[in-house]
Amino acid sequence: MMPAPLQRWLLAVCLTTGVSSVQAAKVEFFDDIDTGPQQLDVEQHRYLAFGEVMYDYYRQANFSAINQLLVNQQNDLFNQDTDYAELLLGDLYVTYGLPDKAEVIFNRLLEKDILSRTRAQTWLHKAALHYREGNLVDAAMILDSDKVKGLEPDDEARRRLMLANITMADGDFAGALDYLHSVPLDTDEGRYATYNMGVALIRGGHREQGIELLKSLLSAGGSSKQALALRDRAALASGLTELKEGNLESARSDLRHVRSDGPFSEDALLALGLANYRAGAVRKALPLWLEAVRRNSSHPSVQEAMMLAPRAYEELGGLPQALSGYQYAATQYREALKDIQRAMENIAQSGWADALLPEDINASGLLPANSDDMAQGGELSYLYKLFSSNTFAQRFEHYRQIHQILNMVEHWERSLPALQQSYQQQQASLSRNLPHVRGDLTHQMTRQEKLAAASDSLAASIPNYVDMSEPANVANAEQAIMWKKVDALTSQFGRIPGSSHDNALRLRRVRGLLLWDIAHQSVEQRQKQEQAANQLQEESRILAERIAAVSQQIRDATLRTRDDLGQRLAAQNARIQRIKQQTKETLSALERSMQADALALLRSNQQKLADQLAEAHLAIARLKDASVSGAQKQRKES
Amino acid sequence: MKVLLPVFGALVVSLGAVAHAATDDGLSEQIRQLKSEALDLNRDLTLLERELLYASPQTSIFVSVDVGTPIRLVDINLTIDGEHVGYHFYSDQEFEALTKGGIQRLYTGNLTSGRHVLEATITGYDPQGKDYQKTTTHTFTKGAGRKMLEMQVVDDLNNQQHKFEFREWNQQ
Repeated sequence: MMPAPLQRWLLAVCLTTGVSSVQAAKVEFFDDIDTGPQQLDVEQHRYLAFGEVMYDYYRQANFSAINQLLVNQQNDLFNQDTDYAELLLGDLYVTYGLPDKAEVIFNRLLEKDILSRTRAQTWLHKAALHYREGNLVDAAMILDSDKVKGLEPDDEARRRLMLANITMADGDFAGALDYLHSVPLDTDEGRYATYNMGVALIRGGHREQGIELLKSLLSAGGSSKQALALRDRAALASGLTELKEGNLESARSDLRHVRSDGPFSEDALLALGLANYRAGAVRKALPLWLEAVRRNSSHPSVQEAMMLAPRAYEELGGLPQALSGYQYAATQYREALKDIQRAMENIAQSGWADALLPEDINASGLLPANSDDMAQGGELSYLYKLFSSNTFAQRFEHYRQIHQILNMVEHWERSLPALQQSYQQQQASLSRNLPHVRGDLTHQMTRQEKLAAASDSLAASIPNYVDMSEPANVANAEQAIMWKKVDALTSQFGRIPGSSHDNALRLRRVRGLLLWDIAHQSVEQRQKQEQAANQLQEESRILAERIAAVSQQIRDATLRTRDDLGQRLAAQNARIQRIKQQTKETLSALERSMQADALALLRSNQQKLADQLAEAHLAIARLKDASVSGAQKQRKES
Repeated sequence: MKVLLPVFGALVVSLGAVAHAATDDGLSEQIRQLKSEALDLNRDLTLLERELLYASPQTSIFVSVDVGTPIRLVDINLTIDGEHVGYHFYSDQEFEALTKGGIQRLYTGNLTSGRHVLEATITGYDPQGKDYQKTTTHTFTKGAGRKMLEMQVVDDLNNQQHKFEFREWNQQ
């Protein structure tokens, strides 16, 4: 997985090369200006498309992110010039387990004249690719060269971590420490590297330096589940090393850092009991082992504690408790052996690997989907051991990805008939409707053109001043009716009954008042008329757009009736079936391989448990013999 | 204390830093080949599906948020011309993807040409964790070409809530 800083950088590159100027301008300088719809140019289109890819990428839907990139490549939106998309695709290919494709992209990028930072970034990716593939020499050559100069701080830390791990694998601990010192402990990567380095130093015989590194993790930050688990693990590793060396007080101090409800609590209880036992404090060791015995009986440390607790009782003189403890241990070992047998039978069944898959198809977590059931069956603790093996974890990751492919293929298998049916319905509908739609459209185009001409003519005919020589033109509806009546009365005055002088004066007064009234609101009325005319023109423009849209649809539909999409869809069926078959075969092969690993581990556990059971029985027999001979001795003495 | 010795074996922690390529070359190659073919198939079928469903220029509505916003977007509900066309509830991971610059396509469809009213309602938590709801409307016109509409959910720092900004593009 690409680290967050790199992801942010990729987005930044996209934005700077693409649309940042547009965005920044809008946000910083023209925020209040409504620019309205713009023509979609290629950079803006890339901005949206790459944003979608990043959304998938950051929500860890890598398959979907790759698909988006490939679809956009096919549509010529992303090409060899869009370095940011190329780099991301390369990184996704690495994550998805397609290193050859990734290398082609990285090599292509490196041959180009690209920004020095992008170049350094690409080299880092290439080195990471070698690193993942186990080509440590090639990776180190890149990481230790000028090719990766100018990296951002987070990438620089990533470079140093890889170099530290490579140097460590070579046994050069001093060199590895040099690289590691500048890596901050406040990142997951830094903490993991420090832990690995500490353990490697201890294994390499540099005990003090190793313990120092492990202890530095005990006070390191981080409150995530992962960080806390690693802190527990560091405390446990440091405590065990101190215990081996006989530094019992230091061991106890370190082991007390392990959380009592964390994933390493059983191991810590066992080890802390041992530290006390070795210090001669058997009474202090006993409750710790008894606490461990109450935990999950399939855990190896709990199984160890089952023998240690009665041993401690024995040393303290509590022979009945010791006997009972050994008997309890024997019972639990027998149960654990049955659990292992059941687990082996379960594992050997076809479909076992499916049960390990996470519920969320995109999640890459390794906790099995039915972990609750498995925990009850005692299978889970063996699985944890399995998943801590890199080979098994890799195989399982492949299994998860191939299973995702199977889901995808089955989705298309179900969708294809629907797509084909949809295509046929489309064809039938288009053949039925296209002829009369074409005819209607011609008629509608004529209507729209007339309407556009009329609305333009109307808008043009409105003068930009108020002319009271034609009052009806600036009157509202009510005034216009009244004006028409007054005008008619005036023109017919003298020919109608009641045409007296008084009425003539009255009519003139009414006309004058009405004219004043019209003139008073004429400006407002003119504005309304202008607005209405503009609105009419706008509606007319939208109608023109709709006519254009329908024309475009008719052209598209005509092409659709002549295209070969139906044949191309039909051709996919064979391809889907072939890939589905291959997917199933690959899943079976992977499952068989995972089953073999799991069964080998369980057989080894089975053997160990059998030995422990035998030991428990011997202890029981020994105590019973001691009890019988003690009783006989007592009788003789009495 | 011979019995104590195996315990160290059980407790030794592993150094798991460098991943090595699987040794089973046949299976690894088969996996790589299959993955590659699956990616090609998915790409081709996605293109065919789009060609079938969006023979006419479609309308797409995208959602983005301010990078690094302190305000949490919970869900979004979208209607066009009063008809419900999209709803999304954001998981933590999805919201984080948005705050890192991801853009989500919330709707793609064939809209008729002409004027349309988009209404978006979001629920969010302000930096104090208090929930609130906001609704906005935006009118746009769909023409002959593709229409792209980005709804940016941006910080309104004065109110410690979100506000909306819209960007529209037409493609002929």
